[in-house]
Amino acid sequence: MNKVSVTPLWPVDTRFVEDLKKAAQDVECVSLDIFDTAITRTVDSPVDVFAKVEKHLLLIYGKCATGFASFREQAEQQARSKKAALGLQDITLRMIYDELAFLMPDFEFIDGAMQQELEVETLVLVPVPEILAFVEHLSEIGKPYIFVSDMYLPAPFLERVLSSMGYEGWRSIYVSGDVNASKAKGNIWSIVKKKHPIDSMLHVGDDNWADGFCPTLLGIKTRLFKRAQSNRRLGANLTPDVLPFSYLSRMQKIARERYSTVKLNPWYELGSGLGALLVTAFINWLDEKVRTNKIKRLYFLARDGYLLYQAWKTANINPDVEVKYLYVSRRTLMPASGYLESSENLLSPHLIQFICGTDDNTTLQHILDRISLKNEMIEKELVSEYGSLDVVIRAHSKGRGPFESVMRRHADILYKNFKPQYEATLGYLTEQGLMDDVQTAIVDTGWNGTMQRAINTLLKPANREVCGFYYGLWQQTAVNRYSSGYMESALANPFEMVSDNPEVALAVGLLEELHGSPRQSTIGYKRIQDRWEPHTPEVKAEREQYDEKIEFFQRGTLEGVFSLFREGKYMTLDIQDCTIPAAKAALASVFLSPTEEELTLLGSLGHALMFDHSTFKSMLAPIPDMDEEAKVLIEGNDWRPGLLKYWHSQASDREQRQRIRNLALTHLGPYMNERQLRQFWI
Amino acid sequence: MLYPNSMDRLGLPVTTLVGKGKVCIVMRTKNRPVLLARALSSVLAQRYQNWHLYLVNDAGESVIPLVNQYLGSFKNRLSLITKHTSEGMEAASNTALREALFFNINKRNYEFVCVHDDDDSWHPAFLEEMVAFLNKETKYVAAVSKHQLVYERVHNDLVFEESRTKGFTPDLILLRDMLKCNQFPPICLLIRVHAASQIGMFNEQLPVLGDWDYNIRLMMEGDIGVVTKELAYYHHRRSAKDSYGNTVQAGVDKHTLYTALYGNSMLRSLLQEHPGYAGLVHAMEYCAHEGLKTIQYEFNRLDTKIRDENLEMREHIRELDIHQDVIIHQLRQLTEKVSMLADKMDKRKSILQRLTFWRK
Repeated sequence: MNKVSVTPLWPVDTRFVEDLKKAAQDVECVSLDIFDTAITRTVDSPVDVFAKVEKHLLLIYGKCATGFASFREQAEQQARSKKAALGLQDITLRMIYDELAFLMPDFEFIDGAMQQELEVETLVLVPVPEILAFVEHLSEIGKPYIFVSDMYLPAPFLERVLSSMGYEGWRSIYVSGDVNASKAKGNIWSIVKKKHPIDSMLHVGDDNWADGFCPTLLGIKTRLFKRAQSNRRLGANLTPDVLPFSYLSRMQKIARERYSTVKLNPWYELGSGLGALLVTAFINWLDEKVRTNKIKRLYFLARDGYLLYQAWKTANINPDVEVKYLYVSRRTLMPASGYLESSENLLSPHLIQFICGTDDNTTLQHILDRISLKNEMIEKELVSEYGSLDVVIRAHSKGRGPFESVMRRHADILYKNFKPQYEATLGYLTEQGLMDDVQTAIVDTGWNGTMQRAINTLLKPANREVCGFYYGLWQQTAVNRYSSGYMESALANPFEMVSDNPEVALAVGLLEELHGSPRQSTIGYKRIQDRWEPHTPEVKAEREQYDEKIEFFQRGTLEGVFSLFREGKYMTLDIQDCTIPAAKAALASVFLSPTEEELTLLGSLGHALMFDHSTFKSMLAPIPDMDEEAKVLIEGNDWRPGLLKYWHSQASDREQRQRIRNLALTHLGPYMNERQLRQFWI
Repeated sequence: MLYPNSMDRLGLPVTTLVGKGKVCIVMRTKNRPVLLARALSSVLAQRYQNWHLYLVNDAGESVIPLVNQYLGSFKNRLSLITKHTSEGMEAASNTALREALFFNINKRNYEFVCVHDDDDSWHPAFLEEMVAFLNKETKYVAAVSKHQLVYERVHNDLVFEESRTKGFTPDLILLRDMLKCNQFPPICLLIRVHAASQIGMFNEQLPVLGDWDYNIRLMMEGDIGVVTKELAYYHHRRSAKDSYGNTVQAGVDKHTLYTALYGNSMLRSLLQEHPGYAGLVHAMEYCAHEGLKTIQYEFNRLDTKIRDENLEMREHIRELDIHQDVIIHQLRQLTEKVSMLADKMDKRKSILQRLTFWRK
């Protein structure tokens, strides 16, 4: 293997190296861990190597290699579970591939795959500057050093890799799989002891237990080095689709270390990573749909379409298409379309459903206020039914029945009440050109297609119709499929089960917040100088969140989008990498299996559950004492994996952790697979 | 040779079975635009895109305005066939099959064919998984997936889902079971075009049960493999009496009638060609009847035994009840004695207290 000449990952942390030098002064020998210490990988999580191997195997052997990465991981688990029965301390690569042969009986190229894994490892490994500098110093002063690693890869292979990375002159290399003893058990040191003085030794590594606690017990001096440590995303996807995000995420971490003097806003960083990949993939997809359907004008719907609107303009991918940002919301569209479908005698089911929409905090008074209904007779009837207008009407509660009856009984009053809203909304849509004879589509994050249905209901009398392109649509879309008109979605399809897309279904709140606009929800339209202007009163908490967090996320995203569409490249990403499956894999990594930093960052967001933005709840909450209370919190949360992961990280004892596991099984089990759920079992 | 003989009659070398995998989708519709919109979306949402859809409007209201909404996305993969006289579902399917498989066989070069009813839908992975399965498993003439049964109702232009359950498709499709009754709904099935060409058209004489008849003929050519994932959705509307009703739900009486007529016809066909089989059928029926009698006898014997044991148990319970009564009686007596003793103790205590007071 030739020596590779690579740019150092980051500038050497001289203070740390000086500390190592000092610590090495009074020992006879130095021991170094290999992975994430002397060398590290350029992928986000070590298992992502298997995804890269699968990608290579698919190119070499074709479809028969599909699923390799996942089987490779399982094979390692099975080999590990068998090792105890065989009286072994650790496993070898050969043992793993023997297991793999059972798991992939139709795959005939097991040895070829093993060779590929070794080749891929060499491709993704890079030396760590601090350890390289330290080793150079050791060589200069003539102090012996050795490598000690818990690894299944064979020692001769590791020796070749290490020397190609610039390491030379080590005295010995001890690899757990080869010597049948490990650092994690501590028994590898008795083998090291035969040739090297462990009572006068310094060991450097990244693992608290294997490199810190265990050797310290034996009197070995230790230094922990975490700078090169990669993430352990136990719940991320393990297919080749994860690779674009994996490289990007790792590169971001490396860049953070490389330019440690420049403190990047973490929201900006999240945007330039996850955001850029996701939004570019969607814009590519959208462009294809726009061309296929010969769309000439696109309306991006407020508020969640804001980032997508900016991204489309930034990408400048299809200048022939006219783009507009449309200030609409359920609060303006539903009463307007509901009015059109109702009469003085009968309110449409859609309108009733809209009026009565509640969360766990909505009072009768609040419902009346948000539809601007002031009528003594109705208020009196409601008071006689409920006792007070301050009664909370919960979603799905039976208590909604009498309220709906009162509304239906007074259809004439409500019908008149909604007329001005209908006229204003229709006026605004007309002014914005929705009645023009142009092939038109709307763009939004999506979910139920109700906005498209409402718009098309309003356009129908003029014989106009829009189609819709979305991030995701749920099965409930089937209700409106015919009346909504043509619609397509990129990330979640209405013919799939929710469990097919947990990365979208369990993070709707995050997606909506990250895509929102600085202007708040449209609650109506005002006539100003012969034009209809959207009325978007400011909600302080939401505005602050935008200014302090979302704006940075969106800036990062747009910078990535700009580079990708202009240069075809951004950091490790190629524009061709930005596919919908890659975007979904990225969402799964961050939303279903967040790192501690991502959890803290995204968990700091608040989200409005109701269309009227009356409540703005934080994504995370402290662990409640009672399971019933926990159930309510989880079910009302728009980022369940985040909430449960937070609780898991906060659990103070084994019993509480077990409780969180049970909650995760109950509330995430129907959506997430066993592999994704295992992050709660560490 | 008795085994194997699946696909023998097709006489095809395995190499001809794996090609570009183009799928011919047949969809028939009549006055159900609300459901047709969903069916068209279901086809378009397939991850596997190498298909062509033949949509047959069986003399219903025009579907052109609806189809126009979807036209761009179909990218010339849609042929709309409008019939001016309705001759039933099977005839509508045949119109499409004739157009797709027989008139245009060289032009389109299909490898698979399937029927997607206008009220059903697929999971986006349906064609991808089914084509991959048949490409791998060359011994099957067709494949079926497992499915979900979706109950729904149509109100105005809205479709409300009422419930969703696991549909029944056996793990193995047995010809003998197929002769008894149909084993799966049509939305689950993907057929090799070679097999479809061999067995010909749907039977237009059958106003219902056409798919059962077709599947029996299909199984006479070879086996049907099962993909164990739920990749199809079989939609039912229990209450609909209009054009939105299912043939299964809205035509229950017709199903009963034609099950009888079809069964008679199957047997008659055999006996007309081979009168001697009357004896075999009689013998089989006799054996089945005798077998049934044996089972009935055994059942009666077990029933009697269980009843006898039941009686014994009751007797035991009665005895236990008596014992229990005795024990309860004894306990009461004991309680009374304890109570009397307690009274005495109380009195003594009270006396002692007084004595203590007096002593002070």
